[in-house]
Amino acid sequence: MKVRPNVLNINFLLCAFSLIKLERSTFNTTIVLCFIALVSQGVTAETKIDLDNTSPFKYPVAAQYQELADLGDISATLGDYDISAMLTYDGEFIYINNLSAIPPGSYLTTIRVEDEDGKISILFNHRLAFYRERWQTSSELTATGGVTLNSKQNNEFIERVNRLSESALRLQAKQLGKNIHITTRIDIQHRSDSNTLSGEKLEIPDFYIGIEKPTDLGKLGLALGNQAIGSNGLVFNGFQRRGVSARLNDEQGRYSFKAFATSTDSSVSSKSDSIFSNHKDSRSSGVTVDFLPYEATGTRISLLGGYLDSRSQLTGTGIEINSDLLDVESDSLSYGGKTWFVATNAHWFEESLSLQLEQAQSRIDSDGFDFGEPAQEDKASRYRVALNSNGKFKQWLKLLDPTFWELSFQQQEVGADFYSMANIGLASNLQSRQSSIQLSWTEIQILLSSLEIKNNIDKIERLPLQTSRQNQMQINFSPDISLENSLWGTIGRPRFSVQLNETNRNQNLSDASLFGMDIDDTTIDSKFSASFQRKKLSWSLQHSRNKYVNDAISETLDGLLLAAPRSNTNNYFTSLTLSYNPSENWSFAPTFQKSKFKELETMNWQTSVNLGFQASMSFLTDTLVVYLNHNSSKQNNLFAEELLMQSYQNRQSSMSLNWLARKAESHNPGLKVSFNSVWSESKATLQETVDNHQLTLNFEVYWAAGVEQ
Amino acid sequence: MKYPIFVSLLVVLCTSSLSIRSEVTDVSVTPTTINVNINTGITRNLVWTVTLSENDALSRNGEILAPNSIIALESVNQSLLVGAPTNRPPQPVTVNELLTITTNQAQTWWSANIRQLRYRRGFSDGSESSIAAELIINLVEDNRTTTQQGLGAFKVPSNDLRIDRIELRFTDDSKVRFVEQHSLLQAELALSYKGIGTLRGYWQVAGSESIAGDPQFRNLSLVNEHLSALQQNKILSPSLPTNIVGRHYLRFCVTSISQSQLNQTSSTTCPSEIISTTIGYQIFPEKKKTPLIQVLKPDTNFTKPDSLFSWPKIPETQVYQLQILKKREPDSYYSEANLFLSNANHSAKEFVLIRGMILPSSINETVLSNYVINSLVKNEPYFWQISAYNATGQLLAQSKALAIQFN
Repeated sequence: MKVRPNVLNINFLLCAFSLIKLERSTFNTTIVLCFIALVSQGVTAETKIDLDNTSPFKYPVAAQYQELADLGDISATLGDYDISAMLTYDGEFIYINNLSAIPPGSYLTTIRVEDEDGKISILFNHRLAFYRERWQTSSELTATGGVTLNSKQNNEFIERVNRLSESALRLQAKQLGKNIHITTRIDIQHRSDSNTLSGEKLEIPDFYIGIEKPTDLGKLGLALGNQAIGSNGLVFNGFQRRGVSARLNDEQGRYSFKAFATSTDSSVSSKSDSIFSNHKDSRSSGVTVDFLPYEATGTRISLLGGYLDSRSQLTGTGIEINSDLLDVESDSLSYGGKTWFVATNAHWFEESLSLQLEQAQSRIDSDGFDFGEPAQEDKASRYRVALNSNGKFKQWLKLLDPTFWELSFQQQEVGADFYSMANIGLASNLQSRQSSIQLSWTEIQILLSSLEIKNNIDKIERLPLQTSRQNQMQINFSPDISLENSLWGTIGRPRFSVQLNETNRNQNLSDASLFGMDIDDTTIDSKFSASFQRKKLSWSLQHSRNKYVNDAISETLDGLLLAAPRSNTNNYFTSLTLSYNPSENWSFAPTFQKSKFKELETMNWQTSVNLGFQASMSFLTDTLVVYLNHNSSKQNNLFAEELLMQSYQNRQSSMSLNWLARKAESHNPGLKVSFNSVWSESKATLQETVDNHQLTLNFEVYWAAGVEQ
Repeated sequence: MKYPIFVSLLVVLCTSSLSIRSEVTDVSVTPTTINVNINTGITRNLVWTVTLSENDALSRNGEILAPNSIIALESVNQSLLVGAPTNRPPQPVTVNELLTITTNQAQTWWSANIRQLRYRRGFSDGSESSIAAELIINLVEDNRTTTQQGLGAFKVPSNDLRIDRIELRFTDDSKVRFVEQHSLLQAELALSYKGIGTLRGYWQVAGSESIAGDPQFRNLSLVNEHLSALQQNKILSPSLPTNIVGRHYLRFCVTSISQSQLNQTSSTTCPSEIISTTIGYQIFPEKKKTPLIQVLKPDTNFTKPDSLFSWPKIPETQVYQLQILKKREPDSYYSEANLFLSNANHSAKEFVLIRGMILPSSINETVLSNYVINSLVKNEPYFWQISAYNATGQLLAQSKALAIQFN
């Protein structure tokens, strides 16, 4: 068992915990001190190998091993790869040959020798860093120009000729050199037309310039552009924004430190102020740390932490204050605050016992700084304990003999005022507890879980206490069959799935007046799906039923009806999809979906039917390609009490005829000419039928160069 | 790109007390929440319960406040007088008020992106200070009642499912994607909501065929999803069409939330623009395909660890890379069972490397080395794949990942 050195680790722990307690004024100072403390401790230097220089890496063999009988006694590994076959030995040196095909990066490299008695000695055990000074670049450009040949919109023919130009450019370049690694990428798109969905013609969905310097301490990096905060938890979840960041990470995964400053709101705008917002009320900054203080065979304990200071004037948070309406200074309408977390992710017993813990806290002013209520502080936590068959406990369920099993229990609590601007969808004032068991065999997987959710954990007087309990069972079955069997050969290789959910919800009867209605209901949700796959044909069938039984009572006050309970309902959904590829160049994909929703008390119902067909046919070795699409959907509503029937129907067809005039090859651009037609018709009860059509001619130029990154 | 912002997510405000020196000691109102259909408005009876001592109490007016604000948007100039209790004070006394919110008022607030308001009244016995109570007014759009003029909101059954937030993004969390033709692309709809119920809607796509006017969206798939009590959900889109080069738009339209039905009235707009969201993606032509290495052995599912692995020689190869892979567990299987993994990124690679071997071009058959065999578990499902690289590290050819189990 190998245990990592721990001086570094204790410093890191102290840093992580002290960050949680600190006020903003001392926060930045502490980050710098922690950073200095961390980088002042050395890590073993790496040997650097130039991949553009094809000479093999050679290692001098110590005198006592020089009498090795032959190469067969020597083995070597590079990261997760066995490279013994790449070795040669001349009695004095061991050579690792043909290195130029190895991707640049740092790998732990080990050379071992086995003597006649089977005793293994390690000759070399160091990290080798492979680099390449040559730039790798790739670029792609598409540009499309089109004109309408004929157009009709909302039953009216359009006389004028409409033109459209669209282009998209993707550039990527990287250099993984000896002393510096540079990664750049940019995606740009432009559309010139009177009608653009985003309202902007030039957009930059993604740009990134990253510079990394391998040091003895790890990789030190600076980046500008789209930043993704990888941590997914209570505080960060899918948080990708434009900004700048600095990072230090050890390639062996022992630590990673990242500080960032980004815009709070996501944007694809090309306007300079949107590339990086210089408005202080639209900015976020923070740090994340990831640290592995202990690692041994089968045991791993990592610590994580993060801090976010975020301000926004407009995000998808659900709050949007209209300053004109309120007639107040817009500066006072920005809101936000600080959020931070510490977490651990630990695995023991050959990774068969795991524990994940996360504790987070926030201080957020949600109604505008210096406006309304002051900032509120609250916390959130989650933990999960799981036991699985990966290691020591494999024999525990020997009776059932599954290939894999896992038992888990988890709990999450989020306070009413806990809030993170980097995880705006997190439900608050809620506690959820879940236990589950998963069992897998070669052909069958079973999941059983039970979930309890309680609202209003902060016991706010004016909010009701609601409890939901859900039991779930899911079974997946993929029988190992032979397609030579006539039955399976005809219908295809099957995969079946069954899912059953039962959810009960309750609320104290006395809380009905608080909430405005009583809650006492049961939902039974069942789903069955089967899919079949053959070489040229695959199809799937899905059917689900959702039954809602409401035992709630009407809420009245002084004889006035406040709330009538929702009707019991049934909801059916059936879907059939098929994909047929009679040859590599032809494919057909029809779909059918039907949904029926019925209120059992009122006898109101709604049905929706959706029919789709897609085809792709290519002729003359991809020179001529035809795409066909047709979709028809219909929705019927019956309001039984009023004997009112409403329906809405929409049909749409499109055809695209593509002729490849010149193929893009090497660095020469290609040209494609296409005729596109699209037609749609909508009908609604008591409304005039509306139809649109458009016939367009498009020219498309495509150019690509460089190697794929 | 427009943010679909819908109602307040953060705070449900409750009754607040402003003074302690009044003879009025408590005020409450029932109901505490009312829903107002912006197409019909509402007239609703409110019951104020005022606990007071010897003197009468008066509320000069009511105030309609914006969310999280103390500034009144409008004032309701109707006085409410509460008579002093006849029994021994302090006693609660109730007084009724008929609150009317007109269609015009509701639609003005709606157009200002306000989805939730508070109605507040302060009661005072004549001293300067007063005690106030307030209720929440949720603005909702329900087209069914629009088409049935005369049906009041009273007839709509109570529906506690409320969508707070709806956000569409691709599975790598981006809002705009550049992808290669014929590649697999999916998006996911992130929902935050309160209550439970069934969400029905359509995934819709539009190509760049439409030069004039709005994009012509067509239905890709119906959605009928039961939203459980978890109050958060992610709905994965079907595979998006990626066969035609150019710009495409993906939209999710909600057609009904539980029993509140939203009627589609046009092919270019969703029934409710608030509960819909659109993102875009750009398709580049397919690049030259990497040639496939075929005729591999072993080609059966079950084999011994010491079996011979062989493949045909590929010209210009400098090294072969033999990989033993394991399929990543699908998120869909675990996500509902694991709150921790529910945020997992769906775009994670399909396979994870267990171990592999790098071999010179002279070798096109081998047994697995001990270093690889030692990492394998008997009867576990694995895959193996062979790749050929040239001297500059460029991938020349690659096999498919073939299923294999060692026994």
